[in-house]
Amino acid sequence: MESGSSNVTALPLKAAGEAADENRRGFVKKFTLSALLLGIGGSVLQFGRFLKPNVLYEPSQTFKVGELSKFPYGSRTVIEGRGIEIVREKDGIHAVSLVCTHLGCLVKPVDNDSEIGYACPCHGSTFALKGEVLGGPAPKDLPWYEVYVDNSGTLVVDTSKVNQKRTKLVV
Amino acid sequence: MEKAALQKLTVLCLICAFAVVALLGVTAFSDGKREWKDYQLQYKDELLKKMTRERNPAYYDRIAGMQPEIKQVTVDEWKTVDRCMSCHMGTEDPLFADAASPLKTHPYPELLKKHPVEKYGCTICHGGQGLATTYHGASHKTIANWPFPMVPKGLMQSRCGYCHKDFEAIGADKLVKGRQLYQEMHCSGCHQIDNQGGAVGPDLSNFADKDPSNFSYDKLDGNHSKQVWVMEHFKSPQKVSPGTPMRTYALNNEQIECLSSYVLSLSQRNLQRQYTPAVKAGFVAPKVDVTVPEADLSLEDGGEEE
Repeated sequence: MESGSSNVTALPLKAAGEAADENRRGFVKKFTLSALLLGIGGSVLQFGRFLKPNVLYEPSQTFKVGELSKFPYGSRTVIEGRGIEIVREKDGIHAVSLVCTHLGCLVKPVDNDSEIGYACPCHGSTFALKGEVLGGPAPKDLPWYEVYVDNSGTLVVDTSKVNQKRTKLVV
Repeated sequence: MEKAALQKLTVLCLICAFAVVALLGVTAFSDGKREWKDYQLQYKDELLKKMTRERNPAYYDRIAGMQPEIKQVTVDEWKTVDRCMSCHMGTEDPLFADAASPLKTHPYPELLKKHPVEKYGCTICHGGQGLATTYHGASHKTIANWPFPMVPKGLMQSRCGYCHKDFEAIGADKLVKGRQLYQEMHCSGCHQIDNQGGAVGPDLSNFADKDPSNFSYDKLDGNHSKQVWVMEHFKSPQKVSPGTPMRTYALNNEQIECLSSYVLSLSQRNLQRQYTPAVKAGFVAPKVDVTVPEADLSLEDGGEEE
């Protein structure tokens, strides 16, 4: 009886110990697995960051085009090498892209025309004074870029941001 | 026994896992924490305080929505990428004239206006490591044997001479004085500049372009850089390069600075037209070799006899 009782008492004890062991193993397994996943996930994320560099070796897309006084009212000034034109009118100033939306030729500003503002020499697309497509193969209007005047009175253009609403900068 | 060993291994495994997770966390944290980010946020705060939205809403909104990012200027002409403006954000902004150091306006705004940062970058005048985005890495303080340390204040004019050959026109007093000293001390007796002078010492025509790693720095007292080498070499040629035939000249510190500026400005780089400063018509660089050729002795003898 005693031995039986000891047997009886010993069995659940052993079982409890095994259960605790089982529990611990389970915990260790889970913990190790999650650590492994975290580690691999973290490394993958870090490697993934290489695909999106912080900066590129290229000229900044935000650049100064000169002091505001360089752009009198009613003037249209092509900024050489940047593919944009600064247009200043009585009600504000804006920067319009000169890159044709068809195949990327540089469009030519047309002077002294009440309707056509820009004409593309490659395939004959024409754009209105504000850059809307009038004719030719060009699928879209010429985009406007964001402009602002900084503290020293210099006009700055940011070609990485398109001015979707086509609002003129009032200065 | 086996169980105990297994347990030990398990514990070891656990500790390693903990360590890996902790290290990963630290890496992720420290990778995102860069000093230029702090400076940019500081710039943003200060700028927003200095201006009102009513006066310039487009600029205000832009600054208010500014996220920290690396700013840089690439100059193809001298193949530099300068990221100095990632910290020095206020250099061209007149509102930051009395701000603290990295955000401060450039001390010579007129000079900066003639040399816009967008076209010239910073390192062509100031030297240093343009690509770096930390204080130490940019070589604000001279790093031993670093090829292009930042130019110290006293020698700043040496960089003007890289492009401007008419020193008087730009008011580079140190370069003018340095060249005068070079003439007065008859350095051209031994050294050549632009094919003028003797051939005893090395040709100095392209001294600024010479590779700094070819100088021996082991006898220098100060930092190991070409600039310090030049200054100390003028102080005591014998000490800096033992065995040199160049003798020691009595020069005070200011004269040494002028001469060093002049010698360090001697560059033979050819620049594109848009980077070449205009000089007035008919400008000819003054002769550095002012030694009068010795009179023909035989003729003089003949004259005396007559």
